[in-house]
Amino acid sequence: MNAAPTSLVWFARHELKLAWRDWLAMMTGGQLARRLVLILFGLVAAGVFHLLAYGLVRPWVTAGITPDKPTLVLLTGTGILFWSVTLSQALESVTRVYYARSDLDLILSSPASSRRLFAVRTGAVAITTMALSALLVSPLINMLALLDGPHWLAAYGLLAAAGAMSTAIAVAITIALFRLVGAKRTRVIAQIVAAIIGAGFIIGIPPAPPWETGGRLHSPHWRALAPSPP
Amino acid sequence: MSAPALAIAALSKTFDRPVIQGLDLSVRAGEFYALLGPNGAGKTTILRMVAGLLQPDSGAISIFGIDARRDPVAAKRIVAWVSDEPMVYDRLTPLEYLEFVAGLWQIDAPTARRKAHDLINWLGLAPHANQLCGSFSKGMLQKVALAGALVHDPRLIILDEPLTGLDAGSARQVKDVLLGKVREGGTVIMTTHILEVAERMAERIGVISAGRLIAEGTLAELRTRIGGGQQSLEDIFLDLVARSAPDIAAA
Repeated sequence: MNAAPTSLVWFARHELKLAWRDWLAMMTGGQLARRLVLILFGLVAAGVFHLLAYGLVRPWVTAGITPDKPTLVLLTGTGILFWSVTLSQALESVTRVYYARSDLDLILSSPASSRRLFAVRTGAVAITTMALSALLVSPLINMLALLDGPHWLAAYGLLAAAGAMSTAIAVAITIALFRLVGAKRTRVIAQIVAAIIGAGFIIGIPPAPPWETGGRLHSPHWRALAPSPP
Repeated sequence: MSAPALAIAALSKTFDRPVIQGLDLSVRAGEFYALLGPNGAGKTTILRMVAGLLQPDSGAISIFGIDARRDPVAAKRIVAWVSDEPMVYDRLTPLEYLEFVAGLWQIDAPTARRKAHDLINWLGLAPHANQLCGSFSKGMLQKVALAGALVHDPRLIILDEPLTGLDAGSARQVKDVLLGKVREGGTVIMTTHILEVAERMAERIGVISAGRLIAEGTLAELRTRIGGGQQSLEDIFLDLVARSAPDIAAA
């Protein structure tokens, strides 16, 4: 099927083709053997992460998950921590996709709508951001769904919303930086901001799963701040 | 009388300092025009404003009678821009690249494919038509970029240093293509530091210094302006820039 030139679908197909070929070249160097190794590695890694998640989640499920205040504080805090990673990733991605292809001169000198191009690229950032957060969290969600019930699958909706929100904030920050410091400095500053936010995630991670140790998220201070569950 | 290919009036642009100052410039339709100037004179800034990549602070740009500031999309339809470091996607073949560029100008896929094939054959790239551009030499990339500029049959072709870094064979081919477009009625505006190229190819030459047009005309007119004789364009250029320096410093 041929999409009309410069339509959203046409730009999306172009971006997808470039992204796919970039990724494939980076991961496999164009060799079939490496492609097979990559698929095998992916499957093994997914299995290992799910086993780890099983080990983490099982004691919690066995003890019984109740939607009380400490549990909600824990889930919210963990969610915010993971969201900070997605924000960091989105900030880095937004500046990268806007600059890295170096094709803006070509596209902006054409009569094509640059809004459509940026819409497609922003959508691509949202999807990759969601994919990254899914990569990090999906073993936990899958194990919770397996051990405690399918209602945990709703967390994927939350992931999608968090990815979209991160992308929107990242775009807003990038535009603000563009206006404040110009195009040249925006990328550097955005990367520094992304690194700071990413570091916040590392600092915020409790040394052990909070449901086992109590962790920072179980401190009385946080519980006092949180509203009571309905 | 037909509208000029390019008419610039009182164009100004300031970054951290004034880069273009009240520039007036006119290029006739079907003309090969070379824009010369020392580094930092503002040549690329002028061309980027004409191509719609930069907003002027003030002034007017008209392309074949179309007000490029009021109706940039209409102006862009008839213009092609090739930068000094043309971008060609590493992961596309020349055919795919040309089809994409044709699409940007809303040429339908079958027509784009036919034009891409024609241009690739014309530029001698047929043996490489299905290879990824990432493996190409600078000369081949420049030819692909040039093909991209021609794929939508622009009336005005703007090139920023198109011959820099090309070997003799590739440079000759690019020059032949550009002269061929002018013979067919197209208009070419080109910046270059290779003054022999401007001397041999351009019908008129404009010399820019510190964002101002300090001289313009045919090679003979420029010679007359600095006192006659048979000086090369290089001598004329250096003389004109040196003469303008006190005026610019005073301004």
